[in-house]
Amino acid sequence: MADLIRRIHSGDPAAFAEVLASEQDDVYTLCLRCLGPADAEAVCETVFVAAHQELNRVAVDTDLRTFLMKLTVAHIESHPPGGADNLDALHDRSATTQGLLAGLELPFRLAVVMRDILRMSEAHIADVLDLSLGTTRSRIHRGRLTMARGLSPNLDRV
Amino acid sequence: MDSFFARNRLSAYLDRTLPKAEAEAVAEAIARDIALSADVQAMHKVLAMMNEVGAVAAPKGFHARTMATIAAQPVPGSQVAWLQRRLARIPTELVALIGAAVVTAIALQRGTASEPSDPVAAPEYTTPAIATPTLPTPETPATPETVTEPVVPSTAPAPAAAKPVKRPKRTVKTPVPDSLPYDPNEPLAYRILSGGDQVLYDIATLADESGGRLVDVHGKLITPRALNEQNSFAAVYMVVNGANAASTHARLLERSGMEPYPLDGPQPPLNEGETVFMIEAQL
Repeated sequence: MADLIRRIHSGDPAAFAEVLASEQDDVYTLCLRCLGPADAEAVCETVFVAAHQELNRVAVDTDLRTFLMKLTVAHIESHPPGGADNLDALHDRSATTQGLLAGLELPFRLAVVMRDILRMSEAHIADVLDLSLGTTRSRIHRGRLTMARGLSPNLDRV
Repeated sequence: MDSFFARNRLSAYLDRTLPKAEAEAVAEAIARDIALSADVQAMHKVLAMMNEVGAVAAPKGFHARTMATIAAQPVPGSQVAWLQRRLARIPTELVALIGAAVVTAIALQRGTASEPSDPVAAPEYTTPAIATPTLPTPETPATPETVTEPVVPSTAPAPAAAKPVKRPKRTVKTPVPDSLPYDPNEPLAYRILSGGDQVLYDIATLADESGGRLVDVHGKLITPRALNEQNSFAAVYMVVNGANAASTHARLLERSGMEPYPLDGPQPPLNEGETVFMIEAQL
């Protein structure tokens, strides 16, 4: 990882292409699940363009994945909420999941997507979202519970 | 275990991260409470759905499109990008003022050139070098009249009919801030006015190059951000090793261009041998 950043600092264009190739799917997934299919690609591209600028300034020992996830979260949070997403393009099952995720407020959506789709550890999510571990766990739990209730609306409320 | 507490542990229960005794208590509560059991089933189903959709591959051609977009951007850190960042910081008013000054200077020059020339040709002579004013030093104390007029060589004919040459007023520059000594026992605060939207990144770079870090007053690391009209001010603390303090001070002075003031307010916690600088940056 440090070697990759050193290569970026030295102006090696292939180094950033490697970063893009290895991280584009996760960044795109986070954008897709948090913003919907209409805006995901554009925001994802913006994240990598910004990353290309920023990586020249970061310390060599920076964790690239955490850095990119933080940058993605910042872009998602600053993205204006769009209209209704066209979920038809997604697979049926995927559309249901996307619909449930869309029902969550953004802080909970981010936490749930990182935990249950990107399989990130709670500690890593806490680091990316700049939250305590307890708050992170609470967000994941409340997000999951809200989605569960969305799936079975007749469940009792807490 | 009460259903309320059990419900709050459902995520951890499904993730199998609860201690054994707690997991057993949650299982008992689930077996007792139908609503809780339904919650578990629904949450289990949600987790299965999320697991099923998984990570999505970026659209076809995304890599190539993004690399093409990046290729069209100025190379970060290049001289072009450096120049663009610097130019972006120059206020429009200043550009207009400089433009007006240039136009005025050209107009005045043309006006002088069009004046009738003196019938007596001015003899040609070389202008002697103007003595450079000496800056105040302990040995040579500064006086207001340290600029000496150039002495015309005696061999040159006196330009009797020529108009007196106007010489620009030379002023002795006041000591620049970067000559200010640094006292490690007196923490200082610096102001960067009109620093531009990227000023925090510049400060972060400076901290990085000094082997230091940017923190808030509690010592928490700060991630630089762009300043804008809504958030046009930031106060940050730069913590550096004492060995690099003097050079950091000099660079901060250079960036600030203003005399720093003593840092009397709260300071972030420091490790042994570390020094803190406060920087107030404005858009």
